[in-house]
Parts: sequence; C-alpha cells; structure tokens
Amino acid sequence: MIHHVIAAIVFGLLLINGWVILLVEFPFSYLDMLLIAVSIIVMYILPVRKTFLYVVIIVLGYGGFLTGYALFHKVQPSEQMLYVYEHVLLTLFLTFLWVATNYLKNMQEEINRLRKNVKLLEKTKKNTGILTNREFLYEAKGILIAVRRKGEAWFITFEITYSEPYIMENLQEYIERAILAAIRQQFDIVTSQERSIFLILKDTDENGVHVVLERIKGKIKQELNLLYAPFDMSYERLLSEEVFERLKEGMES
Amino acid sequence: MNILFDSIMILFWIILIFYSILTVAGVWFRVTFKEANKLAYYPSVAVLIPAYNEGIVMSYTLRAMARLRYPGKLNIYVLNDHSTDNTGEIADEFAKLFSHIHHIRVPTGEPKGKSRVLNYGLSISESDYFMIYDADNEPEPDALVKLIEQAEVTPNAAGAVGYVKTKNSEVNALTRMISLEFQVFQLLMQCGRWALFKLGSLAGTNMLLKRSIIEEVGGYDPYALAEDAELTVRITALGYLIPVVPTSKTWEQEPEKLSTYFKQRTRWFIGNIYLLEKSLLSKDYWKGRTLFLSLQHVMTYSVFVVLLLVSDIFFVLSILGMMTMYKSVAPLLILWFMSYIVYTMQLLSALAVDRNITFINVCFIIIMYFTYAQLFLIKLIRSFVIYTRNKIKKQTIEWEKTARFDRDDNSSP
Repeated sequence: MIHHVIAAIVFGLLLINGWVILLVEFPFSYLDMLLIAVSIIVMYILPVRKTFLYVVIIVLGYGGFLTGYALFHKVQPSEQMLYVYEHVLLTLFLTFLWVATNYLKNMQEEINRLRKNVKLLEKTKKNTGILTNREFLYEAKGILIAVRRKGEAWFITFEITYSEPYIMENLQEYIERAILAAIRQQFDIVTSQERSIFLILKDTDENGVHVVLERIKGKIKQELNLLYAPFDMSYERLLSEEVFERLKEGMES
Repeated sequence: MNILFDSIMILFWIILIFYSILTVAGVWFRVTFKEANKLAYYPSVAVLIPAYNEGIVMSYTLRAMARLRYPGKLNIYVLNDHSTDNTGEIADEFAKLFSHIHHIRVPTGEPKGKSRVLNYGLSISESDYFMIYDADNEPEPDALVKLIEQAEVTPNAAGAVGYVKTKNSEVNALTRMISLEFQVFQLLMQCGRWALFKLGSLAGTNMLLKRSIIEEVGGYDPYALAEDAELTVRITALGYLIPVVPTSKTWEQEPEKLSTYFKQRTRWFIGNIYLLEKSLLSKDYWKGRTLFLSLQHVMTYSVFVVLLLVSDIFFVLSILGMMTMYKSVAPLLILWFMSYIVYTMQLLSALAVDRNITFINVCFIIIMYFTYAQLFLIKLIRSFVIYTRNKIKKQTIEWEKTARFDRDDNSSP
C-alpha cells in the first residue's frame, strides 16, 4: 500500500516538475524539453537495469554542457544561478521519471513472473484436462521408481501425421480427449506437445497396451471422418528415464 | 594570484570529468556484469581471519564461515593474536566440531598488526589460493566460490576482490553514511576503474590471492598500516590483474561512534600516506598501470584535499559576497554546483544499482557533501600531523584495532 502512495506522490511531482520546466523561461528551455521528450522514449525502451545509467549520463553531460557554455560565454554569476536552477529541475525530472518508469516496469515484470509461476503450478492443460509436461514428468518419475521394484509400465508415443494446418489444434484436442476417455482416470497419465502425445499405462502388460490402443482407435473412428488413424504410434516398456528425452527436449524448446 | 586560482580550477575540472567518467563506467560494469561459469576443478583455498579481542563478533563470523559453500578443499584459520577476551574459546568451540576450521595462536612478534599476523598465517597453511576476511565479517555462502571462478577465468589474475557491505548501516547517521560511502568508493569506483583500466584494488577483506603471487612479491609489508593498498601496488607493478566481482558479498560492522570512526580512518590514512611516501621514492611505482594507482594516490591524498579546501573557501566567500576580488574566467558557481552533482550522482548511482533507494537514504545523500565528505579534510590533516610527528621522533606507528560494537542482533541482514 505504502508503495502505491509513494508512486502516486512521485507521479504527481513528476507532473509538477514537468510543468515548471515548460512554463518558466530558462536559458535552455528548448534543450530541456528536447531532453525530456527523448528521455521519456529512451527510458521506456531501455531495460530497467540500464535506465539509471542513462540518467547519470544525461545529468553529468548536461552539467558539463552548462559549465562549458558558462566558461566560453563568460556568463555572470547571477545567470549561472539560473543554470543551476535549470539543472536541478531537469535532474529532479529525470530522477522522478526513472522512479516512475521503474515502478511501472517492475510491476510489469512482477506480473509476468507471477503468470509464469502460475503456469508452472498448473497441473492440467486448459482445453483437454490432460497433464502439463512438468506434472507428467514429475509423476512419471514416481512411476519409474515404483516399477523398478514391482510391476511394469508402458510409455506410448503418438505422432500426428495429418497435415492440414487449420484444423491441427482441434484434431490434437480430439485425440487427447479420446485417449483420456480410453485410459483409467487418476491412474494412467497423459500429456502432449505440438503434434505429439505421450501416454504412460501403469500395471499392465503388452496385451493390455494393445487393448487400450484399439479402444483409442475405435473412439477416433467414431468421431472423425477418417479411414485410418491420423497418427503413428510407438510403445516401449518403461525402464529408464531415457524414454523421456524427447519430451524434455520439447519442453526446453 | 589569479593564475593560481585558474590552475586550481583546471585541476578541479579534470577531477570532475574523471570522476564523472568513472561513475558512468562503474554503473555500466555493474549493470552488465555476468558471473563466470562453473569450473571443472576447484583449487584449494585457505581462509585467513586475523583476530585480536574479537569476542563480540567472533561467533557470528565463524557461523558465516562454517556456511561457506566451496566444492574444492577449504580450510579456515582463525589467527588469534594474543586475544585476552573469549575469542580463543569461541574459535576452539568451532575448531572442535568442524575439521576444516582451525584455531591458530600467533607467536609474539614485532611490529604489531594485521600484516605480520597474515604473514604468519601464510607460513602455517598450504593451499593454491588464500582468502582474507576481517574478524567481524560475515560472507555470503557463495562469496568465495564466485571470487575463485572469476580469478580462474581472468587471464593473468592474481586473485579477485569482492564487495564489502555494511551490516549495521541502519544503527545511526554515521553508519548509514559509511555504508553509502562504501557503496560508492569501495565498489562503484572500483568497478569503474576495472571497466576502464583493468585495475582492481584489494579491499583488505573479501579478497582472494594466489599463494604463488604473494610469495613472488615477498609477502605482506609488516610496516604497512594500509596493507591492502600497499599490496595492490606491488602486485599491479608485476603486471597482474585483480578482477572485481560485485556479486561476491561480505557484511561487516562499521564504527558506530565518531571517535572509533576517526581512529579507524586515521589508521587507513596514515597507511596511505606511508604508501604515498613509498611510491614517491620508488621508480617501479610510476610505470605502466601502476602509474595510474600512484597518480590516484597523489591526487587523493594531496591534490584532492587542496581542491576540497579551496572549494569550501570559494563557497563560503561566494555566500559572503567576497569573491569579487577574483577575476577568473572560470564559472565558479556552476563549477562548485557540478562538484556537488557529481558526488551526489555517484552516491545515487550506487544505490540504484544496489536496488537500495529509500527515502531516508536519498535524504542522507543530499546532505553528505556538506557533512560526511568534509570530514575527509579533518581526517587527512590529523593523519598527516600524527605521521609527521612519528617520523620526527623516529617511532613506528602502532596498529590500532577498530573497536567492535555489541548488539542484540549482530548478524548480517
């Protein structure tokens, strides 16, 4: 709460400061306005960490310019005082602008970070309810440890071969739903990446795998006007983490 | 008279421009800094902690040391220089439990001080690198590993130096201003010098060196009170580099009383005057990159102090309307203003890159030029008087330990 109050005060001061620079006639008013306009754009474009570097360069450079100008034009002390006021106002403006842009950019960064974290915490995908890649891997590792002691599990990969780009997303969702309907809920697990679906069947043998695959094909035939299943399948017994390599690569890319 | 004033003005300009460039370079270095990659092999390290009556802080220090994470061989030596308080008991307690922490009792010897103790520590330890921590320091767990990684990947590096932060900065106005000063002069300017000239200065703590190099330079000079600055010059003279690692942090306690502060800084300044004298008498100190270090010493401890004094006189005379007798072409008012701006921007930059900007810190920054910065004059004059007096009497200046402060919560934030 206190941060928002401070931010509001800073925005207010920024506006007041800007108006003072605009309304009071200083020796270099036009230069001030130009610097302000450029600074607003530059501070918006630059990454947060580099914005203060920009402020430092402008404040010191502008001071150097005023000092040089005062030297070469033999400016009287009374006018030098005006330069000082002008510099102080511009420095304050840039500092307030820096605080304001930082506040806004940090807020944006925080929102992005939170969105990313929420995505990481999500266990299922929005449209079909199958597991997210991260959750699938987490559970798959647990299954692997369990089958090393007792039982067996099978890792099945579906590669979609249908190549019409406009309906690809819907087709994949259809297949994912068909797979979900064909497996044992809360027991077998499934996830997907673009054009690939990964399934683990627990506590079953190769015959069981065939039964499930036939069931999936049957469901797809019921819903889609296709003579052949629109995917290639491969399966192997789950014995080590190596089978997840492709899935991991897909997650990284 | 006018020629003298104009010469001073020109020097003033040079210093202002130089520090402005250094500030920009320092900020640039810090915002673009990338840590070195992990190493395939981590060399062995001996951490040396000279200690004399450090009972107040020792347990906090050793707790932090025990938390240091290092993949290679690490040994930590508490070099107890005849403490009369419970420093030894605390060190014993840690040494009893942790096989890599050792309590070493340093034999009696002359001259007294940190340099002699460190030389002894080097003689009883074996390692590829050694690291120095003051007895009130609490390094962050990754402080050492970051220095090693940087030292190993920087060609021709003698070691590396990290960042010293103030753990009691919020105790009072003095500690807050010391903390702000450290952020600028211990780190930002250090980063600027490294970015522009590949020059790093050892900080006396949170610093890493190769054992082979300290052996090559002949160990610490036991008469140097500012042993870190003195060693930096000798190492630089041999052509070695000391990279700066701003992400390697240690937290230390700063003086909470003005009297303690003056004692500590007088020792530092005397050490630097000793180094100044040494550099004026040696040709080796005026070659290559060492030339820059020596010049900086001369500028800081002689030219700068004159300029600060003159600037103060200008300011007071201007206010009193008495500067009319000086008909200079230099725009004095704006020049004085710019010196204030450069100083203030340095402090503000340090806070900005450290993400430590608070309302109270900004308020302190605004007044520091008129208060804390002016103490430099008093400290330097006091140090010159003591140094000269001891020279005339042919006495060795004794090491004076910085007093520590007992607090309920003495640990780093």
